[in-house]
Amino acid sequence: MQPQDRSGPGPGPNRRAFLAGTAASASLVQAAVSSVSAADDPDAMILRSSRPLDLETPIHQLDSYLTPIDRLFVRSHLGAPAVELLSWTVELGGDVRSPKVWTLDDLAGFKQTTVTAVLQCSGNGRAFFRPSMPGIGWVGGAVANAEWTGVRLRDLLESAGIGPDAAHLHFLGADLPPHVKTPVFLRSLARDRVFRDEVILATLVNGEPIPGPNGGPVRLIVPGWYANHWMKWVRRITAAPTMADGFYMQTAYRIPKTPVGPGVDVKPEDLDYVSAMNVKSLITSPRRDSTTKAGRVEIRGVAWTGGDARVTRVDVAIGDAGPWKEAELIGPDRPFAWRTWRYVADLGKTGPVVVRSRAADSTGQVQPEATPWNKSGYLWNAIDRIGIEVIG
Amino acid sequence: MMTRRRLAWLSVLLLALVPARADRRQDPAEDPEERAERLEMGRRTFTENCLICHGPEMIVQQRLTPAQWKAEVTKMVDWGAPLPADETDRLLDYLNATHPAGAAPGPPIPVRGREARASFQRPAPPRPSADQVDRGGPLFAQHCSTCHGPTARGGDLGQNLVLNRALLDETAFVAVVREGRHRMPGFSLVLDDRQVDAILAWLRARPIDAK
Repeated sequence: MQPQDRSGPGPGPNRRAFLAGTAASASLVQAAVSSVSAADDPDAMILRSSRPLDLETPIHQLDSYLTPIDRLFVRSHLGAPAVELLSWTVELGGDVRSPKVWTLDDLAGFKQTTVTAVLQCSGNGRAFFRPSMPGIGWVGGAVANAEWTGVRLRDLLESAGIGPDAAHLHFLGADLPPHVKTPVFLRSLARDRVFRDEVILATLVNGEPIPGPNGGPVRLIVPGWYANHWMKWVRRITAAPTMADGFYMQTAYRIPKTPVGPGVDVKPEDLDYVSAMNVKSLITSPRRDSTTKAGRVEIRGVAWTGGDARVTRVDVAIGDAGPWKEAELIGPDRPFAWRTWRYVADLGKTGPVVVRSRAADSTGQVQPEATPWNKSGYLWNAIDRIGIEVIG
Repeated sequence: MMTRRRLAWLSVLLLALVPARADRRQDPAEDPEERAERLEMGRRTFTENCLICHGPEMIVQQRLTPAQWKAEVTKMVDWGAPLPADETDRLLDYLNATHPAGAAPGPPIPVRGREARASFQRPAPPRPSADQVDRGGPLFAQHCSTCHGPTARGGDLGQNLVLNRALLDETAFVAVVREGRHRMPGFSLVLDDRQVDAILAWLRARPIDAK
């Protein structure tokens, strides 16, 4: 951190001083790579915010079934807390017969389950909505597929005996807001969602302790649903008769049941709560804006959907008007995880080439040309489209 | 002194932060020097108030209409941003001039993932001693609570310090307390090192919930 800096971005004579001051106050900017080497650095992530730390994964780094821990995207509203200062406990209270306080060792003593599941920010792809809106302009890399290991919520709740009127479980993390007037990140889930086999309180990702920025030591896993439900740094669970109140449950993460345009107000009763993910695909190879030699080119990607649906097919098209051709789904096929796919294209003509991918799922959902606009920029799942240059 | 490495990332940030010049609103009647001064004042307001709680990237990557900027600033003030009321207009002028809707987005800012996460790999600090904690409480109350609140969870001018990751880096913490930062004054003439250490110990020992 630095002493008072009296400069800021934008016009004015003090831009350089600002950059130095700001960079130092967010010491991680030391990590910025020069624009020349950034494109090729395998360790490069996209900085969306230094504080709170928000990192996007470059899409070509998602070109594997499991996303490596070092490539997991990072996102929170309130920033990772100093978990190092706590002897971690998870409390369970409210409408329960025996309130509990579990240490990490206690949680490790329960039966452990591993679930492979896609973690995706509900704002992933927000950058593509027009007109644009406030919020982080993720382009597609706020997503990951990983193996999550931990305890079933059901087992924890049954060990405490939750009351018959406890229709909701409230989750609170250790990320304290920057000011007493800032809302806490308190959210809730309905009991029948929490009791599902795949909903766990995880301590491991891909077999390793969940890193601090990704919610470690303990985070909630809600496979098939967007990441706003996957509470990070869980410290308190409360069994209650009603949903959680507060900004991050009742105002944020709501979307109109019927799409409306900008400037149209929607009554609360006409808003859904963002929950199950929609069907989506990303082209992970070739890299966007890269160059490839003419000939047979392997195009690779990932595809996933939400709720209990399964990806049924992925199609690839060359050119904006090109016909859709079915790609091959390869690799593991696990519920709540993504599929990897490949398609070999004959790219004979040199010059700029557009490649598109479109996934469909078992409910009949198909990726659209454009996702309906909503004021928060949630749920973008349009057909993926990249441009590459084919050379002779 | 600018090392080549620092120059490299400075140029990356520069590219990321420069908005499309063609879209800046111009009032033909305004004297260019007055305009530059007005925007400079807005820039200072931005730095001194907005950057208390978060880094600049989230803001400078936005491209918003005047109504959207106003709504965002209002929300931040409602959530505790200590923006003086009489500086709101100059802040909005600055944001609208430099990050307007329709301006080209800046290029993505690359960072090394390993280094971005480096601060999470540091060992936990030693447990504070009871003596330090006992001495730190009254010192915090006397010197810090006016701005940071009586339980250190944020007040009129200062942000929450409980479980704040700034508490993990003793050297940086001491430097900020000594020299100040944004709207925080420096306390080098008021507190000696032993007192600052005691305040840090008290803060590190704060329970997650205010009693």
